Amino acid sequence: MEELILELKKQIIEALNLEETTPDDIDTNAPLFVEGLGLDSIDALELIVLMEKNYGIKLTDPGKSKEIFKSVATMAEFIQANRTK
Amino acid sequence: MSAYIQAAAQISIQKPLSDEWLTDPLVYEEPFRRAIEADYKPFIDPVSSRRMGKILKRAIATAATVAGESGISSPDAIICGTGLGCIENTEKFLSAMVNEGESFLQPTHFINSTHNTISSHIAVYLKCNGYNSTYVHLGVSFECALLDAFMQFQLGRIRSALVGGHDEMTSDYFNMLDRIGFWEGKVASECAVSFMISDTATPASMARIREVILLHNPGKERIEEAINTTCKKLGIPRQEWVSPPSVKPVFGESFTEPAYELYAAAVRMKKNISPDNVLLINNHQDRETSLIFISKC
Repeated sequence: MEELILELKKQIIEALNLEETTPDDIDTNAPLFVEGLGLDSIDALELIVLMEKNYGIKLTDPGKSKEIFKSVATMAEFIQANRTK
Repeated sequence: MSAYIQAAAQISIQKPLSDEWLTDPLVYEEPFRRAIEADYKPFIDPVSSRRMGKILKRAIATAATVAGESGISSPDAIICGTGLGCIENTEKFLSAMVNEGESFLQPTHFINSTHNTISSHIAVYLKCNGYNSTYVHLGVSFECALLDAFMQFQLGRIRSALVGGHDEMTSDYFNMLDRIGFWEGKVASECAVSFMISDTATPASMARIREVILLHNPGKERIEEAINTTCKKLGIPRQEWVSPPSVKPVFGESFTEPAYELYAAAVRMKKNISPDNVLLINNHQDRETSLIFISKC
């Protein structure tokens, strides 16, 4: 899990162009949106693309997005349980 | 009618936002060199910065610099020229489409790939609601922007304008053009120059723009005719107009490189190391010719 979390943080930094952020700067359990990294709706789209591209996960239920993208930890848990690649 | 360059700033292969290139120019041997980035933190907050390609960051940094130096924080017009626009993000977006199909396209690359948004990004940054346009006409893009501003000064529609020339160059695009011999004998680079221009001379004015002319497929005779007619109109004999050596060896080549020619001429005039009257001639692939007449203030 730790390996997946680190990999995910690196992918988030790259996809969201967080040039001056390192994986260590991202709190695994902190909120991704509004607080914490302060992400917005365009970032949400980037994260959806990231999950599909890198892990083969297509989000079909928009209602679950809020729970999945709550933090890096919740994203990693969802990826581990649902990844197809 | 004249327009006065009140401030000018560049980001290039020379020290950014500086005129050290005059006394201590950086020299490059390689055929392609990307611009040296400025420190963008004083201009753009990190959240906004990550939604901008390099071309937009450079445009905003140079625009903010000339706005600050001239004291004109909200110009009546913002007009830029770009040959290729936001080519780096366009390439990223198209490469993803080619390599991975249309399923995994990143929205940020798409947003940043829109080629004609430079002036509007500057306007959002400066909170400027005036006239706004970005010209995309390859080798005369910058001159189109300058001509638009100059005509609007002539018509009395504006009293100040922020005019810029901006271009990115990527390795892929460089290599494509290199294969057809486009860069033979040239150093390929990028461009980011902003000018603040106003209709009133001040002690800080760098140079006076007397005339801007664009000619399509002109031939030598028509170019000479346009120069002679302008000299007569301005009341300054032809022999008093000097065309200085190009600054391409200093700043490299790009589609908006003529912006560096005007920048360098204005800086030299301001420092009193230039002839009184300068004529800048840009001949783009023998198809488009621009003539910019500037004088000391």
